Amino acid sequence: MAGRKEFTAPHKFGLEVIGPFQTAISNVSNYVSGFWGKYLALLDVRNENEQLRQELQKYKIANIEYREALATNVRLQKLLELKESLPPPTLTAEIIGKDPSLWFRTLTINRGSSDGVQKGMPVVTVEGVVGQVLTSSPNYSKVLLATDPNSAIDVITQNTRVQGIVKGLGREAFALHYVLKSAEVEKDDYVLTSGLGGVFPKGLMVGKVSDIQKSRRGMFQNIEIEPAVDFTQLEYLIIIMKKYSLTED
Amino acid sequence: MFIVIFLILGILILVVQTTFLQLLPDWLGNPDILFLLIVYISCQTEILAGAVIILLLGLLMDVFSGVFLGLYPVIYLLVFAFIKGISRKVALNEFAYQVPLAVISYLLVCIFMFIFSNSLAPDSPPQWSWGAILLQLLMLAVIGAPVFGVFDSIMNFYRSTSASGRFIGSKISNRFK
Repeated sequence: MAGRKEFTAPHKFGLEVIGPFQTAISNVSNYVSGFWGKYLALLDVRNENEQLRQELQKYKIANIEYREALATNVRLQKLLELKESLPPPTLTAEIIGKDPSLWFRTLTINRGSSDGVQKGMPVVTVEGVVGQVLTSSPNYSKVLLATDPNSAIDVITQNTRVQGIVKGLGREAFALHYVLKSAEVEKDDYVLTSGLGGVFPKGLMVGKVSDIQKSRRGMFQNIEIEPAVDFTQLEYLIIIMKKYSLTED
Repeated sequence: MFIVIFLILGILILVVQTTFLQLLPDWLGNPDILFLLIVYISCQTEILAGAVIILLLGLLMDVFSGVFLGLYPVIYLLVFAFIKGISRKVALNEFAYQVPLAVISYLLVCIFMFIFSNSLAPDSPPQWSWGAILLQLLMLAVIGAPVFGVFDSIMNFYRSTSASGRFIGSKISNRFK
């Protein structure tokens, strides 16, 4: 015997009334359920994302360290080549501080009198002359850069063999002093240490002639030199060790 | 103790200035925070304690900067005397006065530095660079107030923990009465 299966009118009415509420609640619950599911999935994604970010960061750091090691290796290799070409003995030093003032150009390096560093010793890099040791303590030394106005280096131009004294201008440039107006100096001619004066060995690169002016007054030309060394990028230096410094008091 | 604290602070600032701040790009300049400390000490301390700290900081600066030993102590003590002279007429405890004072004093330091370096080595005169000097003055004006705020916090901490505040100029007392 089959029971009654067909809705009566009150059933249908009840269904019609409650149906929309069911739909609404069902939609809401589906939405919430979906949202919750997405939220949980998102949490997983977030965790995964975080993990991936950390891994990426780790690889970035490793990559930077690798590049830095490679760059240091190249620099040190060049330094080694220079060191082998210079008259022995030489000493490699690292810059640990720079002069904070506007008026002077000095550096502090991590080599001192206990390493044999003395006042007046020339300091160079692969590119050329950096300066000379001004003073030293047992483990550290102060280097007077060639760009300081108090620095003076005896030089000679490569092509025309004109001698003069290079002095710092307090910025990334030198002035070539005491070159007579009658002397022939060419623009872009290289300027090298002359070996006179006894501080720097002969033939080290100082820079190249960037500007020549002959004023009406005076005996000498006004010559500006572009330094061979980029003084803003200095890291490692080579000290040319001499037994006796000629600038010693 | 007060001298030791500010000397250590000066050493820390000098280390930061000669290393970390050197990494700043040229167009931004290298702010002379140690000079702000010198102005602050000149404004806030009694003559004897202040002069001792400034002399020591000047000697320290001689080690890391420059060619002529004794130049920084002399110039910093002259600035100290200048600020002490002004402090007789103006209450210099507020940032509103200290920042412009730092700017003026720095210009004074530049003038002294130029004159003294010129007279010590007439053959190698230093270059007067308005661009670099104006940039430094601007930097001091911008960072002056926050840096003085940090120094003030250190000074207040010292005052609250130490009984030897008699060496330090009191901030709340009326020096004009």
